[in-house]
Amino acid sequence: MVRVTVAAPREVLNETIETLHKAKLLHLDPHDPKDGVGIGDPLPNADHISKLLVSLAGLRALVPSNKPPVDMKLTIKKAEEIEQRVRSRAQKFHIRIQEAEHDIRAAEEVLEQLSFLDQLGIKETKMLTGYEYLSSAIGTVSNPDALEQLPASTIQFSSPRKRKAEGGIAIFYSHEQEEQVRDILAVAGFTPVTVPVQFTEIIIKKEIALVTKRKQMATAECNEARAGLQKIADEEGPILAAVENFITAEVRKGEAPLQFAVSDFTFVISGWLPKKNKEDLETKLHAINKHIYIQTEEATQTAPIKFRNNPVTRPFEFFLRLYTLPRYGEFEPTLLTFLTFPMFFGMMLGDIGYGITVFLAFGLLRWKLPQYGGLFLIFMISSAWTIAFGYFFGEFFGAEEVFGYHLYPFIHRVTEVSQMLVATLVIGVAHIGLAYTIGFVNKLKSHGIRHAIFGKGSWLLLEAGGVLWFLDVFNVYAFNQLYSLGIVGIAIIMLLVGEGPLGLIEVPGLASNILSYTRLAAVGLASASLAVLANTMAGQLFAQGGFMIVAGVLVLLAIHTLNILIGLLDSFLQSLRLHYVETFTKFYQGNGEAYKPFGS
Amino acid sequence: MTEYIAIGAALAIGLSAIGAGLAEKEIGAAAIGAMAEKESLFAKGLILTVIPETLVIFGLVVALLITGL
Repeated sequence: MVRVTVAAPREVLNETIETLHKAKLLHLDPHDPKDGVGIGDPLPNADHISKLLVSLAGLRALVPSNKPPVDMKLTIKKAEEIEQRVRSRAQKFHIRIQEAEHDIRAAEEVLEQLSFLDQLGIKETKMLTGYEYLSSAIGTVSNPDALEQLPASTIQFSSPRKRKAEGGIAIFYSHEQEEQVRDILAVAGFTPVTVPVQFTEIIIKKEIALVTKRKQMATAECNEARAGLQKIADEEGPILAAVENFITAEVRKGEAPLQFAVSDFTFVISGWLPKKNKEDLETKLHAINKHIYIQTEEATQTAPIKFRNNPVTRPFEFFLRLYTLPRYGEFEPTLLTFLTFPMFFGMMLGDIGYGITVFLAFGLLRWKLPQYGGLFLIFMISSAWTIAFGYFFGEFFGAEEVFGYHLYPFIHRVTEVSQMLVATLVIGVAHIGLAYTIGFVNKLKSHGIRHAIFGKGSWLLLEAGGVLWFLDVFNVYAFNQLYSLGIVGIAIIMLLVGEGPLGLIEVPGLASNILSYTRLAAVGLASASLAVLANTMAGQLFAQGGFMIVAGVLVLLAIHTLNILIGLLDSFLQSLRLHYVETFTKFYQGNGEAYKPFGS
Repeated sequence: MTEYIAIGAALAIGLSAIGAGLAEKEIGAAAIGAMAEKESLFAKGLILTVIPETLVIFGLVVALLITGL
């Protein structure tokens, strides 16, 4: 990466933006107006295009489609025409849908009122009004028991009581009883229901049939209009998607001057660019106007980073995106995770049968859901390691046999636990040593040899001394303790020089980091034991014969499935943790920004 | 004697697991809270949550060492 500063006369602003957008090379670094010169204004038509984008988004919501955009040549005028055309086509159906939905809602409301009256046992609405000496109260009550107090001379209709004890009632009473009835209704928790005026003199059952018919027609109309809209979505979706992409790009171009320093007669753009594309960009810009000045300087740590991985290791960039992107110039640990992440995973799951199952399952998933292909590829590579370690540990679904062929484990995970512990400690020492070595190189590049030796070399030395001391204490190999403790002492003094007293606090952390790798043995032990347990239980059931054979098969299926699921989750997280916590902390800074050139 | 070794091993792993569980309970709740606010904190939350896990590993190593497996 190089840092590029472009200075040019203001009259070529539009062409410059256009050229940069087409070149897709420059990662823009927004200008800070606190530096003196202000930022530019959006291009004159930017406002208009933004509005077009908003109305396009609205239209896309009206005719949703997931189809990929078609390849077509567009201008703003043409985009507007397409937007107009599709909108007028869609609008007709949209209005029809709205009207139909309104009709459906209205019909539902009327139906609700009608069925309320119907349930009360009222046959015609004529019954409700037009009495000279009678008043009526129609509604619902929450406490129907209170109604027993009503004078016997009143006429009551009530809906069949439901379990929720809230019934509809219609009560007719003479005017003199008004006060008494009102009091009782208040106790009963009466809520009046208004019967619409248009219901005068209708026969309820007949009307219900009529309104139901009306609702069905409106529903049919609504569905028909929706189908019409769907047809438009299918036909115009890809075109609209293309138009939306085009307009989005135009908006970006229109708003680009907000990131530039602009004065009355000139403007300045700064950004980042891969070194090899420098001349390409210069030629392109000089083609506009030879008075464009381009200055480049070496990149600093704040430059964006561009991953350079091959298709096999690329999926492992996922772990960095999840955590934090590397800074410009620092070691990019994708290759390291590619090598050791699946290895640790495989070591924990470590079973030929499980490996094959997982490999096939994720192969299938990768085929069905290609958008997550990268993550699934990580699992497939991990399961290849699982198969390899399964051979090493001599496990096939927990058994030591594959279809009659006996497996000979190099280390038996369940019975030779101490060998496993030692092996995992060796892996821990090596992995952390590698991490410090990477840290050493990083520091050497960024801060020079002194920082590298005292900051990271001291840790390497401390680790080496610690290992020697450990070998001595556990009588693996006899050293003069003076050597090992001497090395540790020198390392601690170097550490004090390199990182100060705070560095000392982390010394016990190194031991705990290395011990942490024994989880490779522990998780594997649990997984292998569970597999053996499944086989033992099933074996006992098989021995009983008859129906128990079916039960045995079920036990095998259930426990092995459970074990694979736990193993997948656990091995993935534990392996990830060993990288994030134990390894990355030794060298990784992060907080980088991805290279995203203007126009891409 | 063997029974005491077995009890010691059980205590080593059981107590360390309880300790790790108590620690992870607090951290996990806080990490989930932070992730709800900002999803990109997933990896950092995960790292913080699994830090006390090492305690169980220590317990397990001690248990295995004293049982002499």
